[in-house]
Amino acid sequence: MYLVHRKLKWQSFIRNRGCIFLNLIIILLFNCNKLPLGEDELEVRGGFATDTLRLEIFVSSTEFKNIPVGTSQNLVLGKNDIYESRILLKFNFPDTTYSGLDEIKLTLYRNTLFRFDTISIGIYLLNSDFTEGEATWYEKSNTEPWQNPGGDFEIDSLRFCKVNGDSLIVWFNYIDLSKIMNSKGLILIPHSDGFCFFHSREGGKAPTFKVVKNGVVNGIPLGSDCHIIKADTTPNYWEDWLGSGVVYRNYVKFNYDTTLDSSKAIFGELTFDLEHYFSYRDSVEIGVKYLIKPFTGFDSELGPQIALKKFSLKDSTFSLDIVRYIQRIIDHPDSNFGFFIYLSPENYDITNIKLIKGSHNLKVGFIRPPQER
Amino acid sequence: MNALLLSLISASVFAIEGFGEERAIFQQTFLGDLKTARIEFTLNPEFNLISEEKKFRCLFWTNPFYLSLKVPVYKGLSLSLGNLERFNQVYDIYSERELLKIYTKSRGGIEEVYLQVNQWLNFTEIFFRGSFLFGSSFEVWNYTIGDYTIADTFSYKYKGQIYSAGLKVLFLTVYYEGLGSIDMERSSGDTTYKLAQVIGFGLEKDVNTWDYSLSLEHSVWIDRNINRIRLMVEKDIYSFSYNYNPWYLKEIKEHRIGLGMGIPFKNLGKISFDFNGAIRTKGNLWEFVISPQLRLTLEEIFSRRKK
Repeated sequence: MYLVHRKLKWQSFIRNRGCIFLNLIIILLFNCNKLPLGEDELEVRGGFATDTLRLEIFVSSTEFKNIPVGTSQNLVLGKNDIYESRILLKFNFPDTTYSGLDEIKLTLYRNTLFRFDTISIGIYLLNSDFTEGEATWYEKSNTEPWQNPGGDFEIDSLRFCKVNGDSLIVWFNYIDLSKIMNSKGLILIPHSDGFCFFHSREGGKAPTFKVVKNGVVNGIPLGSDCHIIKADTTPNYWEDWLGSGVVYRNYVKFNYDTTLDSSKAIFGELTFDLEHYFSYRDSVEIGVKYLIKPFTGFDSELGPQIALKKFSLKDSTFSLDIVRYIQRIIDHPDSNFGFFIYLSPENYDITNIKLIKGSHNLKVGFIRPPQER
Repeated sequence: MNALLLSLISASVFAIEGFGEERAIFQQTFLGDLKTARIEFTLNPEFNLISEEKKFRCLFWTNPFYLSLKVPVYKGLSLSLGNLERFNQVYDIYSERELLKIYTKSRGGIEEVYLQVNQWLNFTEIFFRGSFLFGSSFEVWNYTIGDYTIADTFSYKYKGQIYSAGLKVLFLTVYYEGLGSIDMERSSGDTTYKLAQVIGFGLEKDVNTWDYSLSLEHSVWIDRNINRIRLMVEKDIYSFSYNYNPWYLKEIKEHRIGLGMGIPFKNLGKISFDFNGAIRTKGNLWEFVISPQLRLTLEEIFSRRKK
């Protein structure tokens, strides 16, 4: 009886105290709290005075360039009163004599991340070769311009059609096939206002050209796909723009403040306000790269990307942390060459954002860092 | 797993200053028995409990594994080789100051590898020890203001040497450690520091199967002198010790007691369990240290092989 009573007493003790012991063991073993005990000891290494300041803007402007967009994940087809974009395609036909085909069709797959319009287009035969990674509205390769800006193609169209739905499918006949095989490729040209965005080969769902014979489908290998863009109006350099497709980079430079000397930057909060935009998507990614040499225009030599953030285009103010730029100019005040703000990737689509002039703000949080041992 | 281990490793908050926590104090360099070979393995985990104004924070870490090897050479001449941790620079501190939060942690320290010669001459034992010091440490400082966090790193490399010699006549010992310097390599440049000179005196006496020993150390740093004391009582397999160890860093005082038990194994050696408890204080800050130590000494095996 005594033993049973004693056993029960122990069980009760373990039940009641078990949780306390368990917690104690967890605390001991897992080092779990983050109380600032002993924080005064940090003072043997420094005072850690913290402050914030706003740097004064020295200059802001816009640089633009019509860059090749052949490596874009999208193929953009459309036009409005500012832009026009055409798609170039080249398929490598392995057979020169096709016969008995049941179906010949070209398919482009729409990128559903973008809004789209119903537009009329024409498909034409190219009579000049082009280089996918180098072609622009004005040049078919790095070394050769088009005879006619926007591509050299046959005046007579191969097909007229409307783009609607999740994909663009165009059927051809034998005569068309023969012409396509003998041409330098196809060019898709918009005839009405509006835009459509298709996946490119880099986007993972490349355009296809298929021939069907007796129920057997043969895909023709895609040689090249790209789009070329023109912009009829471009920003004034004193305005602040960001743009992709036709690339607008916003160059900004702030004056260095010697208060920052020998300090450690904790944040560099760059903000700027949106005035208006043109885009077929709801959000954009904005990046920042600083200049590693003095400003020489669009092609100024740039360092690595120091900030990248996704924003909704419904936002009126954009904010990015460019602390790496701040720390660089603290460490090397004579290397304050400014930085570019840009849309990333710059060849993704056609988007532009106008920023409110004078809205750029750079707030820096910094401390006096500890001394070494 | 590594992340978990790293999260467990933390130590004295006071190690943020200077070279960190000095660990090579009261080193027993007189071997007594110079006739048998001996190899010793020591594991020394440590639990720290920091207390300030009735708040507590627990930390746990494990000291490096120590090895000591002693080989008798010729007529009372013995050679020893081993490693120790000279300075420990591991710490882990959180701080909150208005908008700024700081979390800093450090890993590493200064290690010592020594080579020692002991010679027994009638009632006298002398030793000479040369130590190579080396090591590295790095500190990560994380600063947070609001949603912004940034990290900064300091790294250090160390290389140096120190020497010591001593004499034991009957129950009296005297030893000296000096000529120590260490090169510290860091981003702001390399610096050579002189290490403290230490002179130590000891007294050992057996009274009715009780062994008493008293050690005094006077350590001379550039900016201050320190006096340490150690008292030890042993009987059979049990031992008790008390150390008073004011640090070379200002205002830090340490009191340490140790309870030990050495279980001999015939023809094998000894397994020792030491339970050390220490209190370190600096102003309102208290640090409680619990440091169990496990030591495996193998010596009979070597002597048996010698036969």
